[in-house]
Amino acid sequence: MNIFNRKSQKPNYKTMDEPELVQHAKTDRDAFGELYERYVKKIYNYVYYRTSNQHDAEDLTARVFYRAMSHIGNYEDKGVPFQAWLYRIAHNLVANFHRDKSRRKIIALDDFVAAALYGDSPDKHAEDNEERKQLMDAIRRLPEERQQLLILKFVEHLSNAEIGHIMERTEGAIKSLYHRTLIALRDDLRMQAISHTLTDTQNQRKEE
Amino acid sequence: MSEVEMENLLDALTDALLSGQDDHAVRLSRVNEEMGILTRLMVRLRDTLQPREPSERFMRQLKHDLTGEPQGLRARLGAVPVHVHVATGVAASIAGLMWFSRRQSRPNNGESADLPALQQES
Repeated sequence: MNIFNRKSQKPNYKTMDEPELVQHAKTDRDAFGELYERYVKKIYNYVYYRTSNQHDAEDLTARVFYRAMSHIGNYEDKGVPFQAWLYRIAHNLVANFHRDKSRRKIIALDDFVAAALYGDSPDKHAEDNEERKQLMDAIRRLPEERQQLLILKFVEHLSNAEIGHIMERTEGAIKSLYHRTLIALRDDLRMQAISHTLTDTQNQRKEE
Repeated sequence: MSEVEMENLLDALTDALLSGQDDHAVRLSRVNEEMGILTRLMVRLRDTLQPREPSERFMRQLKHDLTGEPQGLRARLGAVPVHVHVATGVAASIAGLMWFSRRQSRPNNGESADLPALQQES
């Protein structure tokens, strides 16, 4: 009787290496489910920091995986790992999202700002929150590719080679872009600090 | 320091900071003042750009929507293969029969032995 056959009909996807798993995922939803398990948190993180909003991050993460599932049949590993392919989908969807959002002119309240304003943050955390908010604001003023680089490096902890695959650049170009990004961020924060100081001084003079 | 040397040093510094080797990062940052400033910026980036966890509920729901994997205990039990259901049923039946036959074969002296004790107590 076949029902007592303990041997599973399907291979063990949990331990399968990625290229083989991707091939199975083209025809088997369970294999795609394993790919989903491996990448859902990474993609969510990436999208979260590009949108600053939990609701949008969940919505876009779902869209990334729907699109990946519907296009995985066309995916071929021509030197682009599956991870890089998935991040590129996420990148394109986030770019569309920001374009649509700017058209609609809807200004969403950042989770970061909300946490800083309404969170149960006593005075000792207020300064930290303010610093983080300033830094996040400065990151958002950076060009899109620089934001992407910082998120992939600091949130996802990806190597330069992995980031290079996603951003379609060489490792050397990523190193160079990283250097320029840090310098730009430092200069922006300096300018903001000077601007704040000037505003405070002007306000003090007005009060006097 | 050349541009390439600077880039390599920044790279090494970032790796050290992200792997929690702060002492090593501090040593590397002492090369010059510029590197010290950038190191402080990288520490701020590391502390601000912390990974976020999506909710379990969201992840389960999305997986269900994508793959049809059932959610919840009842649904998961429903997804257990037939042979496991049959084996569990057989095991439960055998255990029940063994318990019943033991109970039947046990002499009644267990009950009668308790009786005097109860009577004595009363």
